[in-house]
Amino acid sequence: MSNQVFQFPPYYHKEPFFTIQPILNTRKKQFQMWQDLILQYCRYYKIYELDINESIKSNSVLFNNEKINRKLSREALKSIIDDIIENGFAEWVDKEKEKEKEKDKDNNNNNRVLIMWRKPDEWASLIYKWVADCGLLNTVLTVWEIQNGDDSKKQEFHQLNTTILMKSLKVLEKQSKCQTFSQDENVGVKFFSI
Amino acid sequence: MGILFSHCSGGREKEDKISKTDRAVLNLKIQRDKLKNYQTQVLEIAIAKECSKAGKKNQALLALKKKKYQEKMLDESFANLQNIEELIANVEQAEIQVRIFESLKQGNESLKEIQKEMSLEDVENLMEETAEAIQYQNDISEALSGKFSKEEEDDLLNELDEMEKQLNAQQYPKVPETQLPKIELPIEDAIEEGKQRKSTTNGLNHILIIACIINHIF
Repeated sequence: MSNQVFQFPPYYHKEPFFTIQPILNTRKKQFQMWQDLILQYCRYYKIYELDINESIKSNSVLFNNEKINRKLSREALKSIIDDIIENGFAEWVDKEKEKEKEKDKDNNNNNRVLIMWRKPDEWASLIYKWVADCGLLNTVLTVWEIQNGDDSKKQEFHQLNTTILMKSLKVLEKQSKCQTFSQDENVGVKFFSI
Repeated sequence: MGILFSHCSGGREKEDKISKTDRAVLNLKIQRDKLKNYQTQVLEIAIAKECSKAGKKNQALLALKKKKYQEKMLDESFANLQNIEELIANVEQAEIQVRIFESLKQGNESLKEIQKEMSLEDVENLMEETAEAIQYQNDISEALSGKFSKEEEDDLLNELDEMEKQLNAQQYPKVPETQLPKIELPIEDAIEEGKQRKSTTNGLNHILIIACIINHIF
C-alpha cells in the first residue's frame, strides 16, 4: 500500500479539465468526472474528510497537476464539492455553520467536507455481516472496538471515520438490527439477530 | 475517544433491550480500549527515548530512568488489560449460562404442562379399552365371516375332487426316443494343419542358427 501510488485517469492530464467550462452540458460532464476522480482518490487512500483551503494551499496532487502546470481554483473546487453534496456523496462537516457561511461569504472557516465514497447503507451491511460472521450478535461492542479493534483489522471499515460509522449505526437501528446507547459520554452498540 | 451521542429518541421498548449487564460490559470494554490506546502511546514514548541515547551521560541516565519507569507502567497496563479481558469474558460466559438455565427451566415447565394432560391411570385405562375394542372387533369379524353349512361343505368337497380328476386327466407330452444324428468333426484336418506349422517354425529356427554360425566364423 505505501509503495503504490494512485494512478490518475487520462483526462487528469488535459488542460480543460481544470477550467470550469462555460457551456452547461460540458460543465455537467466535467463535474461528473471530477466527482468520480475525487471519490476514487479518497477511496484509494481511505480519506474520509477533505479540507478545501488546506488542499488548495498545500497544492494537493489531487487538484494540482504540475506536469501540465494546471491548478484547480478554490472557487471551482467549491462548486464541484457543492455538486457532489447535491448528489449525496459528500456532506459539510458542520451543517449549521454552513448557513452562517452563506451570510458571511468572507468567512473562510468550516471548509471541511465529509467524503462518502461508500454510503452509510453499504457500510452498515458490511459491519452487520462482520458482526454476524464473528458471532458477536447479542453482545455489546464499543465504537472504538469496531474501528480499531484487532478483530476488524482485515475489514474495510477498519479505522473508519467516526461520523460515518455513527451514520451507519443509525441505518442499522432503523432496521432494528442494533441499538446504540451511551454511558458517561461513551457510546456502545448491541447487535441483534433478525 | 469520548463521543457525546444523545439517544433521546429511543422509546421504552428499545430501552428494554439494553440491560444493566450490557451497560456494565460497555464500561469494561471502554476501560479495555483506553488501556490499549495507552499502550500505543507508551510504546511511542519508549521509541522516542531511544533516540536520546546519543546525548550526555547525565541526560542518558535520566532517559534510561524514564524508560524503565515507562516500561514498568507498560507492564502494569498489560496486567490490567488481561484482568479486564478476563472479567469481560467471565461476565459474558455468566450471561450465556443464565440464558441456558432459563431455557432449560422453560423446557422443563413445558414438559410438566404436557404431562399433566395425561396421567398413568388414564393411559392404562386407555390401553385396556383399546384391547377390549380390538377383541370385540375380532368377534364381530368371526360372526360376519359366515360359516358354511354341512351340505355346502359336501358340495365344495365334490367340486374339489372333480378338479383333481381333471388335473390328472391332462397328459404331459411324451419324450421323443429318436437319437440325435452323429456329426463328423474335422479334427484330423486341424491336427495335420498344426503339424505343418511346426515344420515351418523349425525351418526358420534352422536358418537363424546357420546365420549365427556364419557370423561367428567371419
